[in-house]
Amino acid sequence: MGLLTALFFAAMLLNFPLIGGTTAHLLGGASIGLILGPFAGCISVTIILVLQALLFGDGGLTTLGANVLNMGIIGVFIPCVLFFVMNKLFKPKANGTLYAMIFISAFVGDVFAAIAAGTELGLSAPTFQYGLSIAVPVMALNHSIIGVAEGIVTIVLIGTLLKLRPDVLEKSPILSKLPFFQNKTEPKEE
Amino acid sequence: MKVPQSLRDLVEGAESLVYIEDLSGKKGLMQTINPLAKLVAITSMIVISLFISSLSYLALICLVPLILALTSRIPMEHFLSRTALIPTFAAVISLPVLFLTSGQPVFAANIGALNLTVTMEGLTRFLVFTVRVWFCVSSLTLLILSTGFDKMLKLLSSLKVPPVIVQLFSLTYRYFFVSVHEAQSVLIAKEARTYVNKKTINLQSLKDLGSILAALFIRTYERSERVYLAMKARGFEIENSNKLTMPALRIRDVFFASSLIIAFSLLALL
Repeated sequence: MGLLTALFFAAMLLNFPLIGGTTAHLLGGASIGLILGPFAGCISVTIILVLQALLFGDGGLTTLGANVLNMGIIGVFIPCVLFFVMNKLFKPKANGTLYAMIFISAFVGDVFAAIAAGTELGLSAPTFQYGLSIAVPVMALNHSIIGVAEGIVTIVLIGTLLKLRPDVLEKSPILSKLPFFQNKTEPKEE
Repeated sequence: MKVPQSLRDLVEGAESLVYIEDLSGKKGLMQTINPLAKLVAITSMIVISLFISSLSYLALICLVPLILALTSRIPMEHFLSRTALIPTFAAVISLPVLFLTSGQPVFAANIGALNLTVTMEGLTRFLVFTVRVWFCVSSLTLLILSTGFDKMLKLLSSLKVPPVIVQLFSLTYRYFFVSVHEAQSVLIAKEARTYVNKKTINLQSLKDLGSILAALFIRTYERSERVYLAMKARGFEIENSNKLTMPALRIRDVFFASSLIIAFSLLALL
């Protein structure tokens, strides 16, 4: 788990270009949550946030609690819960449905984390200069673009792992519930 | 050969981490203070600074990390450059407050149909926010530069943080360098073989990023299995892995922390 946290820490430094010459990086909550599970994922993201604050001054100590809530809890648990519910409802057998579920989980996780951050910033008014009516839509809109990118990257990541190392994902508390793994393990149990 | 931006970011991140270890070994004022006293003092300074709203007092407290950095033999050029990025970002996002805050005008400009007026109140809010961000970032940077990561882990352990969490911090920090090195190799290989339009977002670049992450994930997973087995073979037990103790607090450590906390508290109350 420590090594995978280090990998995701390094992965968060990988930028991709956005519109207008700006760049963005992955939040990684959906990938970490779906692969490691929500509880281990939450700890993993928290460690990344603490190290980012201490080593790079990014995020800071006084905002660490808010960052952990937004990215470590909301950003990890929402994709996991959504994926779990969709898996129960749709029981995906084709890759298309599975990829759509991964995309929705990652996208919604990113947007909800951004909405939570926007709400916290908006509630900090007048110390923070923009109120709820500005902070929430701006954060949601901005991160919906990042959410699309995060969704695509998460699909490719999990899709590739499913093809090359399905045994790794079989140990995941969330992805192991997929019918693909359930059908495969049932005969062994009998 | 043009180095890709993402690669540059990775290298810069790793280099800054290596520099931490070098500076924490120097013989300066902050390096001789007990890490617990430093942590308490700097955390208190950061929290109390949130209650100081006078610009002149904020400017005054900014001298504290600068003086401490100088007495700790931290190169000023490196310290200032390292602490400049986040406050610059904070200044950019708070720029609109200059024009949106009502009050006494100090500067006005007409750009086409747009009438921009900077007010004294807006300027004060802008400066208070930016200066406070710089103070917080520089204080935290001072703590890390003068302590080093190894002593920070010992401090966590002595503060009764669960060994599993301390071990996770330790492994993440150590293997961050390995992950960066692997990511560099993959990125250089990709750059050498493909043309990528870096100006705009496109589906192919996102697919590439996903594939790179998957390749790195598999390599990391396989390495983690090897490392874990090697650790177990050498008798590793998580419960016994972090039996680290910190040196006891001395009078000078208590004096250092308490004098800073009292001075900052008085400034906040004024």
